[in-house]
Amino acid sequence: MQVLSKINMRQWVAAVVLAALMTGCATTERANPRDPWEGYNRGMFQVNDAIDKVLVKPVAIGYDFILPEPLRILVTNFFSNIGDVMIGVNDLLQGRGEQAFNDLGRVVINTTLGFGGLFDVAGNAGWYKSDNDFGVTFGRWGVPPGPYFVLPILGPSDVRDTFGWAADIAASPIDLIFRDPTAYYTAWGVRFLNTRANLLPAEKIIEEAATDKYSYLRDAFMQNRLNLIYDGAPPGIDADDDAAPKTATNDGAASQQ
Amino acid sequence: MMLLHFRKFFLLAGLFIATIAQAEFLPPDQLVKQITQETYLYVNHDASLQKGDSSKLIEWAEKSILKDFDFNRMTRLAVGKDWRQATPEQQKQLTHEFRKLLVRTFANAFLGIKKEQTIEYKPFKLNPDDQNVVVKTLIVKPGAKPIDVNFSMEKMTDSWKVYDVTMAGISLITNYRDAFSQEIHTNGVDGLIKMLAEKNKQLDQKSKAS
Repeated sequence: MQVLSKINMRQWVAAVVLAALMTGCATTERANPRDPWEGYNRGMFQVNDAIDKVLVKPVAIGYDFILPEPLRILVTNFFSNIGDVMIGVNDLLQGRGEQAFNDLGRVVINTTLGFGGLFDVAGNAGWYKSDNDFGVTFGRWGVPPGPYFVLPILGPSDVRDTFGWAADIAASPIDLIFRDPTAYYTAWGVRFLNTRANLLPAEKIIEEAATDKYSYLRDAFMQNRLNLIYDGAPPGIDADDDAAPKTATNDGAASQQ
Repeated sequence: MMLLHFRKFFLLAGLFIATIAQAEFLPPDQLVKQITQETYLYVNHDASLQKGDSSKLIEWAEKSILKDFDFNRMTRLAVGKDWRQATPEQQKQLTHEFRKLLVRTFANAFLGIKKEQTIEYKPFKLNPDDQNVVVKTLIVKPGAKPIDVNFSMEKMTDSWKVYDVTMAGISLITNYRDAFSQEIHTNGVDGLIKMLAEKNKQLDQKSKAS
């Protein structure tokens, strides 16, 4: 049964990719140098958007409706605590000892005092959650991002971060907690759904702000990744604005934290 | 409950002092504090705003905080290199339309800040000859990852002004650059003006309908 579902899964992904290639045939004339696969990407973006509209979003809305906010926060905290383990490991891989101390300290505090990670006790005490993953680690090691790449279902990525994502999945300790395959896949499913539900409020902002949702999300993704790799102080992007001098980052010390 | 009132009082008192101090040349970090706290108070004083009614917030912002934003520079930043090829009249129209879209975006983003969230201000030091600075804040929400919100500020003759806002490293201004240059190279500057005007019209109709 499991073999069968695996084959179906593969065929299904192949079908999704094919659909993306077909819908994305029309390419724009002036390509963004970071997005040479724009034709495919726009196609996959549309496919993802359609899947989201008919399937993922309605389920997320239902989930949001059934589960009151305090409970949803427990779910978020639980997965966030598991995630903190690899965030800390990536801090270490990047040689950021102090940050690793914060992030692994969070795991210790939240797993014990926070009842297995259900409560973010550390965060409330000022040990804030941070953001890190293998994609960022590769970036800090000097691996270039490569072309922008929209993943099926998961959305914005690039070549480096796709490998990073695969490493994240492989290294995640979720499989140590959910050993049974059904429980394991359910855990990932709930995590995905919970993340999607948490994004519902942000959607209106993007929907109303974007003149072209595809490029808005793409450029937001790229800016966000760059910001993570440069630890909050990416090189200035004001260069094209002839009237403006380059922005000076006032405080090197404050961004260290 | 008591605590909440106390905090409100504290914020109001701070606001009052900040308003008096504004007669002088307010340093950029103080200005950011004033803008964000005034907005925070306004958003949380009214239940209808909590439901996502951005038009009311926009109306309020026009009368109070928006004078501290340099929309001209923001438009120039978003358009990038192509700004020079626009005529003064086109530049005026671009700024007019982009301002409208941005104000709505800012309002939508700020509406998400609820009572239980707090705004932290990172340490800031102003050097006498600074012309462009970044004031960093952190929006902290229990049970979620804090979001970095940074304000890029420029020194004008009589005050500091905001010319860029970034959230989690994403500039709400330069994020448009690629889409705008794409449009200018396909349909010209007038094409971009038209596109923005249509987008604004569409959003106006939508908010009237709801």
